[in-house]
Amino acid sequence: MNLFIVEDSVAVRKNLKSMLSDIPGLILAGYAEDEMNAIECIDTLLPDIVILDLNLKFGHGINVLKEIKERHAAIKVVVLTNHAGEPYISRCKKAGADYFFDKTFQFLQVHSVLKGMSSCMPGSEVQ
Amino acid sequence: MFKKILHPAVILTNRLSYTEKFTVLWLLSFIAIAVVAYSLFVSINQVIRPSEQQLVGLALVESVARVEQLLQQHRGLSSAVLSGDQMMRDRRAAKETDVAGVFGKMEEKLPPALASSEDFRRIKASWEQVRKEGLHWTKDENFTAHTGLVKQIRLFLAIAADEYALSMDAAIGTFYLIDTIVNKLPDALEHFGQIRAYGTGILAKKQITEQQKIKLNSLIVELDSALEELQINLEKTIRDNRGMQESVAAVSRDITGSARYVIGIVKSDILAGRFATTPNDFFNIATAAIDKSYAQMYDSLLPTAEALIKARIARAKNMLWVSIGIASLLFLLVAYFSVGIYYAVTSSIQSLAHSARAFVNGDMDKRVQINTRDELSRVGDIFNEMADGFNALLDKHRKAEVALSDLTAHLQTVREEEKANLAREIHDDLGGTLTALKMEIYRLAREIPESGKSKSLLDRIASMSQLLDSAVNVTRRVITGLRPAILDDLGLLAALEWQAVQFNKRTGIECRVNCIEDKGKLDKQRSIVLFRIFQEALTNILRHSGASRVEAEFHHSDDKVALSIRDNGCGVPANHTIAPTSFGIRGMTERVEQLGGNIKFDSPPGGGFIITVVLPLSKREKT
Repeated sequence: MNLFIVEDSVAVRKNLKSMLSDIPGLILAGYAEDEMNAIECIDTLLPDIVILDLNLKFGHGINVLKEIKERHAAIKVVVLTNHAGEPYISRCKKAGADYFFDKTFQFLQVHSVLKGMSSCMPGSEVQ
Repeated sequence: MFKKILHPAVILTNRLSYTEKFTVLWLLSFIAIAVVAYSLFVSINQVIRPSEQQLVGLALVESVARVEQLLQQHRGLSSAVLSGDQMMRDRRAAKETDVAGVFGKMEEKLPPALASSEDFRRIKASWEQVRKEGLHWTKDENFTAHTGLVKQIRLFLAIAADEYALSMDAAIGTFYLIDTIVNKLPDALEHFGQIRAYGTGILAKKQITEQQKIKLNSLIVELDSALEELQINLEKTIRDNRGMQESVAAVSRDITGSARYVIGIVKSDILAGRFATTPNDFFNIATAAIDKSYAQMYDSLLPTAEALIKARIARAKNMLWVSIGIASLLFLLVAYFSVGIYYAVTSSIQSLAHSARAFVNGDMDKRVQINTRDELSRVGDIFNEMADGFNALLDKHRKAEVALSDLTAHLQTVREEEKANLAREIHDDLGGTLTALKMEIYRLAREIPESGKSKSLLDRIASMSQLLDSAVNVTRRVITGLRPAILDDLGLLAALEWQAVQFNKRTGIECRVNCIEDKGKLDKQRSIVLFRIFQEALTNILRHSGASRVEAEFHHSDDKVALSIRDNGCGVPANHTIAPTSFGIRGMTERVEQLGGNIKFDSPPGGGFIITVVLPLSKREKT
């Protein structure tokens, strides 16, 4: 199961990586720090899951979300952001986000969601 | 010194309006001219009044002279009758009636004061005596009584002459003429009359005594001397009245000629003792000569004197009218020019006041136009200079105001930018770091095995985690306070709606945002301005209005974006102004104006308060 992280904070990226490293079959396919790069890489790598931050160095996560869901509706998107207001939740839901978590208070749920997904993925058994 | 003397007048006139000042001036000049005219009138009247009296007096002189004339004839006739000429008796009786007639006429002409005087009563009594008893007296007694009566009348006339201003005439010419009429001519004629009476008596008796000769001779000498005086008087009269030379000379010639003729008869016939002439003839010849002189007096001298006096009156009256005319003209001239000056001054002042008033009322281009060459025109020029200076100052002030307004707007923009930068920085760096820290702690906690020993360590980690949570919450609050990310990420409408929800949660006041139209992608400048106005409005509503509901209306069309915020609170009293007291709103107002839009504050009579902002999209921002 391929994971792609869109996150501009190195520290957060590092922590996510190590936090999710215990999930079997989960492979970090790559990461991006800005909107353009993210869309390009996802287009190329076609990961199964994308962890998406909304606040990026350049551009905005919502645009990335829209692009992904427009072209590759199967890719699961987990929005993980510190912009955790109701307007963001509804926007992201509207744009097709599968999950929406507060980066500071709900990052643990990313772990459980990804773990759940990984056990359902057929390819994971192989690894 | 001069100023000190004028000080009271200056103080007085300064208290008066121009209308009053000019009224005082008119009054004073009218009084001055009136006084001059009156004194002129009085002095000229002092000429006219006596002259008019003289005319009356001259009329009286004539009637008195007529009495004398007939009385003298009566004397002559009485003398003839008493000398034995019985033929004269009838003529004497007839003459007596004539004398009574002219006497009555004279009495009629006398003024009451003179008519009732003692002198006149005595004359009347004497005349009555002469009339009734005359023929019973001797010839000499009769003559003396007649002559005495004539003398009485002459004295009476002298008094009357004083009364009628005839004795002292100011003009030499008329003085001698009047003196001739009143004194000299009657004197001469009285002597002439006495010679006639004496001569007629002698001729009636046809004999002459030595005494009579002496008397007659002395009468001739007296007549001669009287004639001489008359002559001198008449010459003096002529000297001052060249125009009447001919007539006066004729009078002189006639009187002297006829006197010489009668004296010739007296000398050759009476004094020589020939007695060839009848008393009747002598009486007639002498009477003709005397009457001729009287006639000269009535027909020539008196009318001449009257004419001279009348001319003098006419001259004086003429002078009076001319003086009054000049005085009136002068007054009209003064009035004309003072009215002119009055209107000139007041119209200049009105023009000044009008312009100043217009200037005060805001017409800064108004200038004074006084087309005169006086000091007021200078005042107008100075006013115009002042107006120019004031305009320049105002212009400078306006420019400074615009600069200040620009600065305010700029500061507002800079402040927003700084807040945005600060918010981004805190979010990106601090926010990211705190999140990472939280994750690190989680991971740290997972790596510590759960045992009795590590229990306290785990507790401390949990506590740290909690501290971090609160730090994150604070950070988020600060960031949102600085600049809500929603505004930049999701647009103005989303930010307004979010703010409305937050407000409702925080205060319990119902708050709704209605969107009429949203074209989306509004630029950041307009977005932040409208968002801040909304925030400011909500703050004010919470603080002051006591409202329970807030409704905002958002309308973003092709050419404009409008936001109106209405509450159901207490509103604002009509005389209360909002902008100056609230610097938040003031700053927003400046920014709205910078963007070419406008902001309105309205408090409808039913209560509540409405703020309406409209920003045009077509117009480029001023800065």
